Amino acid sequence: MADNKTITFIITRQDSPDSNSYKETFKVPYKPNMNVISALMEIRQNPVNANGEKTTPVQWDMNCLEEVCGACSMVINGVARQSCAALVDQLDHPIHLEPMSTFPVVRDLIVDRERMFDALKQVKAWIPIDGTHDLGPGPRMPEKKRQWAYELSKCMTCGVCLEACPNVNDKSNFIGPAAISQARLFNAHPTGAMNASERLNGLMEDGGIDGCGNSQNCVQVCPKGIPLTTSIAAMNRATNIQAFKNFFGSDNAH
Amino acid sequence: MNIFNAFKNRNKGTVFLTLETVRSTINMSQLYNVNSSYFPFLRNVRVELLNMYNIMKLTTDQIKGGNTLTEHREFLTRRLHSLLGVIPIGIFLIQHLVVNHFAVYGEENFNKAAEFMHSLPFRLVLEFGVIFIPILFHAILGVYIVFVARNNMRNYSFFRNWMFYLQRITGVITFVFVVWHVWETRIQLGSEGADYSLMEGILSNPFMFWFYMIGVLSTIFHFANGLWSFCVTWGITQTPKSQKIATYATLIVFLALSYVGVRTIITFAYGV
Ligand code: SF4
Ligand code: FES
Repeated sequence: MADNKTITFIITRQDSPDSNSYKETFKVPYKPNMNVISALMEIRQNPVNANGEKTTPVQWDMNCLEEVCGACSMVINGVARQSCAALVDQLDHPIHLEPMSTFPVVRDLIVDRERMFDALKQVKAWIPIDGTHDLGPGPRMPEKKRQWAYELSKCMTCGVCLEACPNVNDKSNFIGPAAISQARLFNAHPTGAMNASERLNGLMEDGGIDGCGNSQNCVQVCPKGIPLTTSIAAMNRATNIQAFKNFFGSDNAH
Repeated sequence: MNIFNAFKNRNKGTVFLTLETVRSTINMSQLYNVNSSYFPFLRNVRVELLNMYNIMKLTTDQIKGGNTLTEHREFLTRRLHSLLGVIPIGIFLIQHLVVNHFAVYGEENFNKAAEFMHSLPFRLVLEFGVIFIPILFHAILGVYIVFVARNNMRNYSFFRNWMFYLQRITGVITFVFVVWHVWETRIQLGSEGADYSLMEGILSNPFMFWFYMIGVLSTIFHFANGLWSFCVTWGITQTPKSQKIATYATLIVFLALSYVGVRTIITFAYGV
């Protein structure tokens, strides 16, 4: 292999949240086993575009570099995924990088995923155990249940499933698949189950679970292999039952 | 009044904080959030406020007797939309296709069946309650649902994503077809019933033949695939396996009903 082999990147850039986006091409010297982030680091070291003009380094977000934190999600060759896990050798060339279009762009490839955290707040995706005194140990969880709940707990709020969902966009207020699955996770927990109805009612609020149109892209793209569509169907059933309980009344509606 | 004023006035007797007060203060504190790295306490304040808001909201909800119907309007509207698609619209569709299939057994048989349907007691009530109003509701909300989607099969060309897209396309085609069909074979006729010769006249025109063909097939597709979504929306099929089998089952529904519909159209058009 020739030493001077280069990889072409076509990057959609944006200087500030309100400015227009533009495309800029970069040629990056090839190294074996490089991934998209290592290529971006090359650009950062030598911010010169394909025309030989000096430009500002491309900004992106990252943290763990091992597909666990979800910070580095971007659209690579049209498909949303983690850039730290995208190996250059396995991609079609030239490589197109874009910020995820579902989220507001902060700068270049950095997006603001605040709406995902708002969604987690809407469905109360936590277990309230803070109190003024020691509550003691919680109830035990069956091992079988723990196993599938563990799969749900792998979600890293990366936003890839929201980006792939045709119903999550600026015209709709749908919270997206991730938060629905998180509501299921915390409802499955024996202590979390004590507040199950609050999460279900959160799912029934505007923008909640009813926004799902069953395109099932989410389950195909989730890097963590989370059974999102099973979670959605399970929460569909649970919210329906909760809606009946709310309306007709039930001692178990709590 | 916001919380800051409330704190200022705290020595002047009891201070009442309403849910709106706390909410608006949270929104205000969000404005400051950009600086939270300089003023970390602002983030803490916000967390405290959010906790306070959640507790207050819970308590008010409990006093109001839980979440009421109006609070989940969007959810309930969408559930109604899903339900109406099957009951009564889907059931009516099957009945309509099957009764029209009488045409295949001869003109007289069809006219007898059409006459029977036409002379059902309380026909107007049935028509409005079971057909027109549910379809109108389903169609109008459906157009909105089509509008909010941003289709992306180019980059995510999975089977279900295509079904999602086709469901929206066929929904729109069905809407246009049904409006025309109801106008032509019901409203235009006033209190008269439709008969064999009317349909024969319409369908022997090649343009209308294909218009009806496409209209009927997309209606049936929309129903069959809608049945699949219905099973998910009502939490019947949860596992990937059950959803897959539901795909095959609804495919059979599509093929079977398509046979009934297409066979009838051919009889009207070609008399065979
Ligand atoms: S569910 Fe999967 S794709 Fe969606 S945010 Fe979580 S990890 Fe990312
Ligand atoms: S940097 Fe954490 S997932 Fe890529």
